[in-house]
Amino acid sequence: MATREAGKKMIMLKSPDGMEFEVEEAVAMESQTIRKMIEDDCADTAILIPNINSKILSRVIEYCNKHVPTTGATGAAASDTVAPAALAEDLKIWDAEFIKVNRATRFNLIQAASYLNIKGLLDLTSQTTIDTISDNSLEEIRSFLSTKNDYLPEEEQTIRRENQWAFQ
Amino acid sequence: MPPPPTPATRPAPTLPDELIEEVFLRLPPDEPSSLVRASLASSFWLSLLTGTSFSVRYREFHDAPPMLGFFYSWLHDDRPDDEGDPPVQRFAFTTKFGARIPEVEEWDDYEALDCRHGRVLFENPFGCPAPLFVWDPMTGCTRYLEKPDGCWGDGATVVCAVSGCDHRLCDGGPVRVVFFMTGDGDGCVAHVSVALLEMDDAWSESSDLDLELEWTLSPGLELEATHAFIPEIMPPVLIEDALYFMLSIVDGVCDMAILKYDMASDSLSLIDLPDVRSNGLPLKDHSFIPMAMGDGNLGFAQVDGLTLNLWSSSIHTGAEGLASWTQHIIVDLKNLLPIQNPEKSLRLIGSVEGSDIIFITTDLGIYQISLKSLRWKKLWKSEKFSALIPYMSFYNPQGIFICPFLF
Repeated sequence: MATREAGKKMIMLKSPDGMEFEVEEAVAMESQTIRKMIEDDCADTAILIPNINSKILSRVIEYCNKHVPTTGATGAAASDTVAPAALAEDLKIWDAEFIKVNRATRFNLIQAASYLNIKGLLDLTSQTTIDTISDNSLEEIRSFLSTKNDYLPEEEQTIRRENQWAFQ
Repeated sequence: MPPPPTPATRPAPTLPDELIEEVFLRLPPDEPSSLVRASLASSFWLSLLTGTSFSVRYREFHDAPPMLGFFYSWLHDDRPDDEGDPPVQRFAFTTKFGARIPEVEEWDDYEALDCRHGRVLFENPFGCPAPLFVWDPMTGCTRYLEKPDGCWGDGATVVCAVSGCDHRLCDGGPVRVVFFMTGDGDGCVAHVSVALLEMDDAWSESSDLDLELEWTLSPGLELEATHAFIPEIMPPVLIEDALYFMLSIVDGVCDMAILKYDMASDSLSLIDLPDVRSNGLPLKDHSFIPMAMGDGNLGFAQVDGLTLNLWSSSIHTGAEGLASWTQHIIVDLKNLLPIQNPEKSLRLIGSVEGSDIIFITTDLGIYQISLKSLRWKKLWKSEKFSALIPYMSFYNPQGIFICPFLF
């Protein structure tokens, strides 16, 4: 859990299972949903995040902590002092580790990223899902996204025949 | 939104429909087969992914259409002898997307003149039933047309005719075919001839000859020259509402300029090139191309030995002429691309409009280079192409709907 640092405004986020997370305002504002609440002055005390459990919320905060633009002692963004390419490369490696989670957690993260409106996290989680299914067969895609095949066998056969190029 | 059940109570986690859509927005546009495979997982997904609302969101999400292949033409006499082989069609699709290729008599005698907004213009002076056709490889729609009267040379193009279109969803819409020509006068007078063509018979794969086609001649632009022509298969570039053609102007000596055709005002004007002559020598064939740069500027790229020079000039709509050219970058290609024989001339054979990507032929292959990032990749083996015209298009998932029971 975050600890209070001098000079930094802190925000309390509460999950529905009763856990509280104290985070820097800048970190919380990585979420456009929370940013709006803060800007509209709806965040005096604690913000209840209604549909994200503490396990997922803590991962989301971890992501935002890593991705918030950090400021140095002079107030200059870190990206001014560290080469932007190196910084981006570092984030990419970190993201790749971060997203090594099971399917259920990833789907929960997609839902959280969507609700909290965190574009980077939504991109990362959705793209990882696409990468997982892109090279898979139709049966694997169905199983992965728990979709029931509701085609009649002859329908499916026709579709495969007419779109053969996509299945080669 | 109700709280999601914990994973323990749900063995197979799922996503709400709107988030499945969000995930599918990330399907790679340069791999249309992934979109088709996902569409066929269930009829619900099929209707989601082939629906207009998803198509609009998908194309907005991905901004510019991907390159799915290219059309090419051979240098003068370097066309491979295909005697006894199946006819050589002048295109290569580098990505599978279920292209609908029409039955064309003498395919190998037709040459692509230009391709834009998903439609390609082919020409064969002796072609049957007509010397020209416009083809949409995604829908299969093919329209034959006659050439405008008095036109014989190169310099023709095709462009979406929907005004205000951002060219993400204009498949099936009308196109303009534009031909450069010179008219009779006291001196040499440049014109363009323009015809409007409907391209809406999607999926029928019928090949119609448009006999009603009307060509409209633009006002002329008098040139101080005995004659003028467009260099062999060098497509113009489109920036906003204007086409920019490379023009050879012969008046004792041969000089080059850029001819601008403003489609909005139906007017022609001439733009001087930057000072590119090397050692006082004229530009060598295949050493230069006009470009429509990513920042909206007009570009002019030229190779001199193993050095690539790029100039750029800002375009102001409505303004007469152009701001002066500024030399943008100089690239030492020897240190960038694999080149075995530095004595062999490099050829600039094409570019991607609205980006900084150009195509260069070296002795080892055809390379695609981003002049912005200087990243490159090998696109094709070394071939004696005089022009490489990229085919840029989003896959149109409505093509999946060819099964009668789905209507």
